[in-house]
Amino acid sequence: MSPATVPADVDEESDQELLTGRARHEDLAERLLEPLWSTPRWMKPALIVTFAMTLMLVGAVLYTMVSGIGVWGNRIPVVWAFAITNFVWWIGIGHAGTFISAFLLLLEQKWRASINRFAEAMTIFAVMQAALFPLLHLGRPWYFYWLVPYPSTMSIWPQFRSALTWDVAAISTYFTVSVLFWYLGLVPDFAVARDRAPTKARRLVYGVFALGWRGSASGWMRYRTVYALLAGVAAPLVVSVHSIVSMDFATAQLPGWHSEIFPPFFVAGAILSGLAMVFLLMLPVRRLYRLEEVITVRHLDMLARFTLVTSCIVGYSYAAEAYNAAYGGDVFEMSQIFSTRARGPFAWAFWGTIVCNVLAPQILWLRRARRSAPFLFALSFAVQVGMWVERFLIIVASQSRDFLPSSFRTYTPSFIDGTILVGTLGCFLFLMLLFIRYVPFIPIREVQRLQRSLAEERSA
Amino acid sequence: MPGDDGHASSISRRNWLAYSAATAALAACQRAPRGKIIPYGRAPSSARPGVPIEYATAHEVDGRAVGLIVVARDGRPIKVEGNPAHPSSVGATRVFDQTLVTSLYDPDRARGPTNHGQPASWQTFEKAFPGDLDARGEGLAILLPRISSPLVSMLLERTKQARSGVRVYFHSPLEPDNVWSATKLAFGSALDVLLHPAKARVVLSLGGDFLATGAGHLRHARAWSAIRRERADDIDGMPRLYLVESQKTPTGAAADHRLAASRAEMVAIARAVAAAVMKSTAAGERGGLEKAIVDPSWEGDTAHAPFVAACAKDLVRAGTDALVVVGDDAPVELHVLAYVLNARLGSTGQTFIRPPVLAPGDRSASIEALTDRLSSGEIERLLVLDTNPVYSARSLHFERAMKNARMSICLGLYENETARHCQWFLPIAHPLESWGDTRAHDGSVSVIQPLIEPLYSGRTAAEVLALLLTDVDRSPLALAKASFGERQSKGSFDEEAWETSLRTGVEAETSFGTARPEIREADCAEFLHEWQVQRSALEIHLRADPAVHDGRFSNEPRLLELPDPFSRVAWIQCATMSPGTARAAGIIDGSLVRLKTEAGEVTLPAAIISGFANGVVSVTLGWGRDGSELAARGRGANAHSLVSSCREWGAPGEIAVVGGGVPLPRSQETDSLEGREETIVRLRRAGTQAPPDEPRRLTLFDAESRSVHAWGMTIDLGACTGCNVCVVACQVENNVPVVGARGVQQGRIMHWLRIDRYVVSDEGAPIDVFMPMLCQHCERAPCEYVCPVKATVHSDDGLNEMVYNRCVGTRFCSNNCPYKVRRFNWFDYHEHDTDLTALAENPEVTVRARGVMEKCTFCVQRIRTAEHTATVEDRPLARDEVVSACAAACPTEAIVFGDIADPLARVSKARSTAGSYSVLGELGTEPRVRYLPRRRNPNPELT
Repeated sequence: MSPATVPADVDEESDQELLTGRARHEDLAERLLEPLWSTPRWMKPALIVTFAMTLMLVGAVLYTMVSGIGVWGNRIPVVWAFAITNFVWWIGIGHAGTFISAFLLLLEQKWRASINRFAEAMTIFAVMQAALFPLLHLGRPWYFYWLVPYPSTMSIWPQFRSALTWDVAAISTYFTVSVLFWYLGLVPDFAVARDRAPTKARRLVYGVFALGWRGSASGWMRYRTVYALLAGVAAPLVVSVHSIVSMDFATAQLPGWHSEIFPPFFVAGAILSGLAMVFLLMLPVRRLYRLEEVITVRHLDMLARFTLVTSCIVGYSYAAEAYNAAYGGDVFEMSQIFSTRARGPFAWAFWGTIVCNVLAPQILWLRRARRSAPFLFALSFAVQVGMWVERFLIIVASQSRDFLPSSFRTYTPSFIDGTILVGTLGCFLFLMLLFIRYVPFIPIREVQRLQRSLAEERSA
Repeated sequence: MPGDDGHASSISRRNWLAYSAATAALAACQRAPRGKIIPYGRAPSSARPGVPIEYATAHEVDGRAVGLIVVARDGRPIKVEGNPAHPSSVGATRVFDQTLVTSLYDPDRARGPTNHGQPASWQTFEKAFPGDLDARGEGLAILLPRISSPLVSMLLERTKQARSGVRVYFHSPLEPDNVWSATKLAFGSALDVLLHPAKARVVLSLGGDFLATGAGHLRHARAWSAIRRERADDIDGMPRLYLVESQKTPTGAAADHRLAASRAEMVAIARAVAAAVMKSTAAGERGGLEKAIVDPSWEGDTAHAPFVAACAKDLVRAGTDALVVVGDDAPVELHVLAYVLNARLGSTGQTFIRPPVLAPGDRSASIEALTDRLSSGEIERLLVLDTNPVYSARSLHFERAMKNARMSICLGLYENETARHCQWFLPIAHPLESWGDTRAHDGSVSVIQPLIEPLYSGRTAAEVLALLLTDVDRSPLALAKASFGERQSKGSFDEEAWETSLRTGVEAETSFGTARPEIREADCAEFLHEWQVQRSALEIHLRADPAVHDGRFSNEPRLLELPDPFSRVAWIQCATMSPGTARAAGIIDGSLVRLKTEAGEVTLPAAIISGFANGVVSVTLGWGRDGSELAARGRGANAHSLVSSCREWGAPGEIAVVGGGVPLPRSQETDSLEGREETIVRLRRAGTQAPPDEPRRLTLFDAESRSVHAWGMTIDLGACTGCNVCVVACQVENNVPVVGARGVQQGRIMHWLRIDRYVVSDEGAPIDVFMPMLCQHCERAPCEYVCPVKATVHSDDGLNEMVYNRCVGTRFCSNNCPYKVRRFNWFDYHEHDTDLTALAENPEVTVRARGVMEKCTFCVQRIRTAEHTATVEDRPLARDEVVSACAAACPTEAIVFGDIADPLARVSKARSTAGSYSVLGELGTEPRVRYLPRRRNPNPELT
């Protein structure tokens, strides 16, 4: 055996790190169900604050619908601004969940078990925030269904050459599959919750959601098959959704948008921001619910490695974009990349993006950094901000200075733009809190299975 | 409108309109003629519902008319075009001619007579006036604008015959008084200058903006661009324009050699050129003029020596083909000097004509004389007809003088500043509601005929004047006919000639004879010899606003939203200056500055543009209105308060910063091309080879056109003067809304056609280029394939069509449009339309809803109407039958529209001109709009 295979053995060994503590099989379930039966003190104020933010979002959305898009800062030539930036950002965040669940399931990565539920919920809620924007962003949102290929009496179909038509299909497919995947994973855990619920009402509610799951061997067998199949369906969607979103830009001829590298670049960026969001949400929950034994430093390490990989891909894409502009020598492309972004009015965004998304994650080469929760939290925050700014840069900088200098115009967001962004954050967190409060957010059955397989490994 | 800072969303007006909605709706319909009511079901056989009818009329501004053809539909005027037969129009219009239809339906117009602010009626007024006026009319003064109407002239004559005590005064804020003074001195009588720029080969303009302002400028612009286009390849034949100016004007932008100089410097340059010209044309012994002009004190100024030498040499070489033009605002001496030079060179490009206006340069009929008489109490009754001296004669404090009159009467379209200080206010009939007559800049008479009965009991100035006479039929039509009869002077009224005159819009052989009178050399020499040049650290210049003129059009939102050709600022009056002037005073763009002269001060935001002379600040007139015009009120300051007399065009002054910078509402943020000259703006020097036409790209999808027509356009950058009339014409034709100052600042201006301005360098010389930019109707339109709902599609005849009904407003099309000509309805911009204002909208064009995209359609409604008419008449579409609104309005024929499938169409010929190119052609969008390069003919000795 060559020495190259040794690290694999090391990894195999360190899988033991994925579940620490000495909880017994049954106790583990009790332990993981605990958040469902008791409300921590911080929960109520957190719910109130995030709900207030959600109401703010509702208010801003209604105001926009009643008055028109003019209440935003959008203008000619920056006709897409905050809304589309937010859309791409939220969709990106929505990538990590399915990536972790489906991809890692197919790759038989054991470490996905304790974090996949959390990431999936995050995906769904993030896609919900994202889906708001393309709708709200329409001049006449009440006609949004014209983008859907439904058999109208006038025989008018959407135009399939437009990336936006495919956007609708991609996002709705992704959302549907993500919800199904998430819910399917939840069914056995709902059954556990049903079986152990302290009150009748809860038993009833969890019972309804458990869909009569009995945990029989044949049930498990079919369940596994369906779960794997769904994972097979979901995995390509991770790639397709952001690829198609990137087409919204890549198919346009705007300097700074018209670029072949966009699909892989967007997917990598999406996973980067998704992983960062997983850290941002998971680290506090892990701490607050004392879940260090279930979500171990080994998990953090693995996630951090992925973060580093995607960050490097994103860095490569930035470099490729600049290189292609310089190599191509197109006056508009050059001006966009080098005058507008690198040195011009958007230099803050350009360099901020590089620092947050490429340079800062390089610290993850250090093992200590990968295993430090506070550092990962801070880094994720930086990456999250960096990814938002990157989307803002791509979208707004390209539009604000394109071909004819006469139409160059600086962009300033309005108060409503900010309110909607903050509001979606509030709404997202509100939904996450509800999820943490009412749904088993660590997959009980999966963790029990992991426990068993780790025990078997140990005894072997 | 949302986002606007006020004009259309004023609560009081809206409430008021709500109460009077029914009245307005009724009043807005075309009223049947008085006396007999004919239901429209039994309309005259000539009137067909929905079929537009055209009437010729004229619009007089500052005593000179431009002939118009107004289109009415179902009895309501909706569009104004120029009258090609009219000498001052030659088919083109000015911006404020275009908005006549909107001002007709302006909700702020006065609705009826008032007495001491209380509603009154014409009957009560007729009892009070002339009332107990004695038979001689002693103590009555009439104040008129500088007017050229033969009818008013006739009525004034008769009034004076009947009542010899009546005094008549004239006042317009923008009188060419210096011209009249100078001609009086040089030729013995007040004359108007008639320019023939196309006859010239070398023109020197000293602040003369003959292509964009002043009498006959539409005609000048047409002739000038035509001759430059025709001789584009001929370096000696193409007229060359040398120009010195202190501000920036469209003519300056069109110059081949332009110098920015303060007025004092301009005088120095002019004197140096004059000295050089006189030196080289002096034959034998020196006369008085040479002695005055060829003088060391004149020759000075070495800074501009090469310009002076080359220009003088060129002028002398051109001889009779040389022409010196001076701006109306220049000092009298400069005018005299120009006449002397033209006389010496034998210039045929300048002739003189009796001014068409009444009492030109007559000081005893001036507003100063009136103010004196009012103050001394000699005048008991004051009748102010359609002029606003309280606003424009600020230096005289006219409102104080008026108080001495026992009775004061004001006739006007709005209850303006003067109306507020008068006892009686009477509504005037709008030009489109009036019978009357007027003269063009060359004296040709046009009959003004109404398109509609007066909406609000308005009467013309002539009708009010006729109250003083007992022996006339006071109906407006009868008055106009009486005036016509007097002109014909054939005894009996020639009904046929009258109808011909109405139909053609201009009366044949009524223009004044032009002449080149002998110049009084001795007087001129003496006058010029005593020339004291005034120098000051800071010159403050006043000029007419390019959009709202002297303030009479300042209630017109479309004019207020028109970006200044140079600063690109809309809705706001600015103190405009050069970067050098600004730096010296610590001013940044948008700083609030206080301008102070001996007469007064104003506080305005500063706009900085390159190309202004250092030490000069320019302020436009027409702002700071304080009447009942709600859109105009509270905008800017009254610049008349900076001068101490009505005849001054500026004053020395001081400037100081008083506030921080506020972002100005600009339609364009940068005038630099950022190194993209080749693909956006091309220059072409006379006599040089045009760059080859770019080859058509190979494509796999060469769709054959299935239509016989292919609509296209050519825009000549060498001809465009940036006058903006196409922009307004497009708005009026296509119901394009206004967005307010905030909207402009946010980049939401809705103009389908905009005029971009760039400063490009031609071997170091900064050249202003105006580039009309509109939907290019790309054959491979990038907007089309990105629309998810097929709301923008291509027609067989090559139009890029916008389906408003289908648009959901993703705005992807705008992103993918390299020309950024698509406009989005960010709000419901027609929310505040009333039954009344909606009447100005073109019924052929959809009023767009909130949330949809819109853009230039190549006036598709005109194309389809012409096609339908041709089909009904069973004939093919005639060559050049369809003209877009912008092309129709253009004074220089810079925009040519037509069928590019017809090789003999004007547009096809223009497209095949050498050097024509597509903007951003390398993107492969294959635009249907092609541009002709900006022509230049610089003097080889100067480059």
